[in-house]
Amino acid sequence: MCNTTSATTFEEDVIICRCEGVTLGQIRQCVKSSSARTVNEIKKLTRSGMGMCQGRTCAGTVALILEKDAHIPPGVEPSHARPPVRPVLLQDLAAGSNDFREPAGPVSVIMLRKPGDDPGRTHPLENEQNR
Amino acid sequence: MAMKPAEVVVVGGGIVGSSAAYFLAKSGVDVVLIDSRGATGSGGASQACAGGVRHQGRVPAEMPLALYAIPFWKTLAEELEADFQYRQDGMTIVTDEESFVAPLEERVARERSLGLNIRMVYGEDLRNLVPGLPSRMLAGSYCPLDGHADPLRTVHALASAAGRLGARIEWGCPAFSLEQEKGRIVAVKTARGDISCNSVVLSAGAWSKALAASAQVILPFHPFPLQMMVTKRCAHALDQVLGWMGHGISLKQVPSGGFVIGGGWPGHGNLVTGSTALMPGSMAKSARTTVELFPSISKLPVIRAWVGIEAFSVDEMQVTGPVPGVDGLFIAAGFSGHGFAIGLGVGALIADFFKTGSLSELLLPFTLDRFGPDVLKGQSDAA
Repeated sequence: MCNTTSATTFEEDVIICRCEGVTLGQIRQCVKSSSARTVNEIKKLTRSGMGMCQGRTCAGTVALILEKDAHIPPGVEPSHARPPVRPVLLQDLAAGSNDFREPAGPVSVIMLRKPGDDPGRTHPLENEQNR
Repeated sequence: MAMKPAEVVVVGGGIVGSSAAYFLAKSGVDVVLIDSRGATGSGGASQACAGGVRHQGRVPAEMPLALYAIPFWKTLAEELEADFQYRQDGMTIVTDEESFVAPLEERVARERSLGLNIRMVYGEDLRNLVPGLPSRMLAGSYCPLDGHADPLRTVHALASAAGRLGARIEWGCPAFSLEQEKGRIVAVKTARGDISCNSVVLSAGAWSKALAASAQVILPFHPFPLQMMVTKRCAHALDQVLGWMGHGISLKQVPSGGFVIGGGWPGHGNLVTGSTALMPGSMAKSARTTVELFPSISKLPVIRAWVGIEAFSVDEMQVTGPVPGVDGLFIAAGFSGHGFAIGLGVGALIADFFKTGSLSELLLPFTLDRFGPDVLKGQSDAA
């Protein structure tokens, strides 16, 4: 993307991540003041790419800024794509579970323990793995 | 190939290691902090963390530590002029089962006797305290001192502050083994070469087990990949952190507006490659628990889910303290899913140990020797 226009010609207050409202200036400041040199690290420090579209809009531009400002060669390590691929309503996730292999339960329900109780917990995946 | 020697090498840059490095540097110790990953979490516990900062629900041995450690969230943010996005708006753990009310009351009474500001809330009062709870919730334990914070911001701020005070930070530098001679630590072998040192703080979470084994110390840990979800932002609707007795959920709305959903649901993770993958069934069950506890957000979309690998010790308590028989080795790992809240304070106590030579009594319940001589069996075999 952006082959014809260098990111460096934009004003600092131009929005790079529209979902989270992160500006070019904030991303440049992050590159300048931290050791972050990947799209993923920039994401975690600035929230760029953490919103509704999960970086589909901004990740390429952030990579370009890294190339220009931090002199990272083209093709910086891509952002980690986090599931789900598209937003899924909580109620749909909750309803659609029958198709999935399910764990027996959460790993730790510490709220139920009394002092001296043995956690007595087996790995929740053991049964699955033995299947 | 050798790197510059250091007095103390902190292995693992999550909340505990970053905090230890900060407080060590502050007290003038020549310290280097190494981590296999980058500036923003290692795929370990500080990344899988839901960001809960709670006192309640801890075993009694951990309550004095929590009461000491949690005030650091305020004082350290001021000291560093950093925004940890810490909110101390309380946490309530609710129940909808008659038979759980008495055990909940017992826990609240026990925690009050340990000095915690916590109380029971029932029925109508509970629903007034936390608008949005379903009417079938009978009772809850409300601790106004509980809250939440942002793990990524916190860890980054700590490591940066440690660097400003003179700690050397080596990101992307995996540790391979701990080297010892005649029962004392002499170096850490890393991807960038050996670092000669007098001491090691091993705060590498689930990765601590293999590194301890290289010094013939057996840590009774199991790695658990835990997964989390976050929803789209929405208008502010929840001040407190919510838990549900007997169910896997910790629910909070973070300052940016999204609901962060944790609760100890397992994912897939590989300690060797560091790769993780989600377990769809965990997402489904976690989502079901969420909409049953807090129905008004059932139409919010989940936009992201992720996994981090945590170390659970066999008794689900941290191992923190010097290791008998291996001079210079200090373990701080295995926090078993409840280390984030106390991580800042534990880092301060680690630095105190290196300053004074004696371990704070707050940490005495957590030393490795509670597991008996077997954990050092490899040590005696080697000798």
